[in-house]
Amino acid sequence: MLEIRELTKVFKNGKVAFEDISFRVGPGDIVGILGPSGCGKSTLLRVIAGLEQAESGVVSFYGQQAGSQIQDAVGVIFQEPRLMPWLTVLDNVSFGLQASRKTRHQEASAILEKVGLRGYELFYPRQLSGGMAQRVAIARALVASPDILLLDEPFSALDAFTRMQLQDLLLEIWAENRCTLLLVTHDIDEALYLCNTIVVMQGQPGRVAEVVTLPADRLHTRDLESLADVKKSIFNILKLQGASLASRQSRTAPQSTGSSLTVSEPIPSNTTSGGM
Amino acid sequence: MSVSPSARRLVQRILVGIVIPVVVVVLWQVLCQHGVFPSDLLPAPSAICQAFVAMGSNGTLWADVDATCVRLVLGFVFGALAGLVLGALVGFFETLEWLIDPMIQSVRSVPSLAWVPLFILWMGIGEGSKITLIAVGVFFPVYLATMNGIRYVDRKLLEVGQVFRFPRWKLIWRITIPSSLPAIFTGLRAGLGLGWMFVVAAELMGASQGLGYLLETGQNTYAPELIVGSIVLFAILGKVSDGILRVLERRLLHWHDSFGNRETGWPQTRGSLDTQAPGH
Repeated sequence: MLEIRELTKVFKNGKVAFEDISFRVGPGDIVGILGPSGCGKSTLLRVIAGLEQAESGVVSFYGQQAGSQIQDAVGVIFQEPRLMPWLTVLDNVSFGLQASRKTRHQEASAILEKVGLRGYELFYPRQLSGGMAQRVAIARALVASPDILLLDEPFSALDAFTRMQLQDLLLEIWAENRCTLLLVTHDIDEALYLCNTIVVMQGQPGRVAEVVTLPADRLHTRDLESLADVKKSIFNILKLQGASLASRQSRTAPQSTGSSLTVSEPIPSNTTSGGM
Repeated sequence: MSVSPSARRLVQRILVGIVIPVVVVVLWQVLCQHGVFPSDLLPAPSAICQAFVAMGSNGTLWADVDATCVRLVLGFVFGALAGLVLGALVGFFETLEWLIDPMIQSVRSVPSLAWVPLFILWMGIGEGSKITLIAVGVFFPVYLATMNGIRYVDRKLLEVGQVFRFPRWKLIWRITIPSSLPAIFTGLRAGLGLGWMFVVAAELMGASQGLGYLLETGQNTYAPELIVGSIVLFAILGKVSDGILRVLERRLLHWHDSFGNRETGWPQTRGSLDTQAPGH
């Protein structure tokens, strides 16, 4: 239903964000775009959403080339909840709907119940925890019943428990609505858990290094041992083996003994420059 | 008698807030009665009250207060409207900023009292020149705050509207304007403060009514009770007018982080969502 062909994006300052990206997303798929920061994966999502324009290449929905406009069929969930602080939860969820106030609120209430926020309709965003706010953002994206939901590292700002809950919530919603999900993430485990296809991006400018299709009998499992071979092959693609792998772990635990290793190692440019 | 906790806290706050003024007034009265201050320079509070009660009962005081308030309100309304409109336009259109903002900024650096002779020349010493001067004073803070509020709207929020394919007017109406309201209110309150400053300046320049006129009369007739009393009245009126704006602000911006306590709004079920996974 979504096809990306030879898409290239150049920033205004002349820096190439990504080039020659091609892949397909079928209806009902959960496709992950996985890559290190700075590889242009978030920018890719923004181009697909219509928030930015590509220099060349084609984004087509249902075989029709997307113009400069943002697609009707697209819902976006950003890394931050991006709720309007002056609106209640209920009004935030119905923010994008065009109907009478009553209908909007009815639809919003129904979705809020689905994301587990019943009873919070009249709260304001400042009264919500991070996880709750992101649930509201999910509800806001869902209420317009988009055909495809674009998610830009939606859970990366949350703590581990909340992240797992929301990942499960996302899968529940997906199972119920059978919508298509395109998810940008830098978390290999998250990609392995949620997705059935993983587009691995690498380099700067970012390119598609590999499209990994997960075995159908091992989808949506937190048992990562059964996916060890896939994980290893993704590590291989991202060249995160050996010293690099150690440095990656030491980054999450800076106090670890392996830190001397990272100091002596030159930091690759693509991890230092903050990408979109 | 049952009083809600928030009401009780408000009463407490007010009681604490008037402690110092009451102490000052009592001390002042006592010191005056003992002749510490010469009464022709600093009259006792009781003398001031007497003078003002007398003026209140023959009606001249209300005419003065009325004249000052009308000038302030008119000047504030014109100045704030101009500031809002121009600030919004410059905030929305970058080209307009290049066109207008340098000029406004340079006009801003003219000390506003320097306008007085010009306004008097143009409009005489009547109400026109006074209201214009007040409006000029109110204009700049409102203009600056509005421009900045609109200019620095969070792009991330605008993108939410873009994803919903809002047309431009809807982005402005539903995202830009509400999110710049806190800044605009700050500008309005600053503008009101300057408005009071300029109302005095305008009335000192020559008026036949108003609190500033009362000040000047007090100076010319050696009536210090008029001067001190007018100053007190200015303080009271300024506080009241700012209070009105604050109430309005609270009404409109109750969602803003700076209002209310973060903890007070928590639901009974706080935490239950984050500790138990849905659907399990």
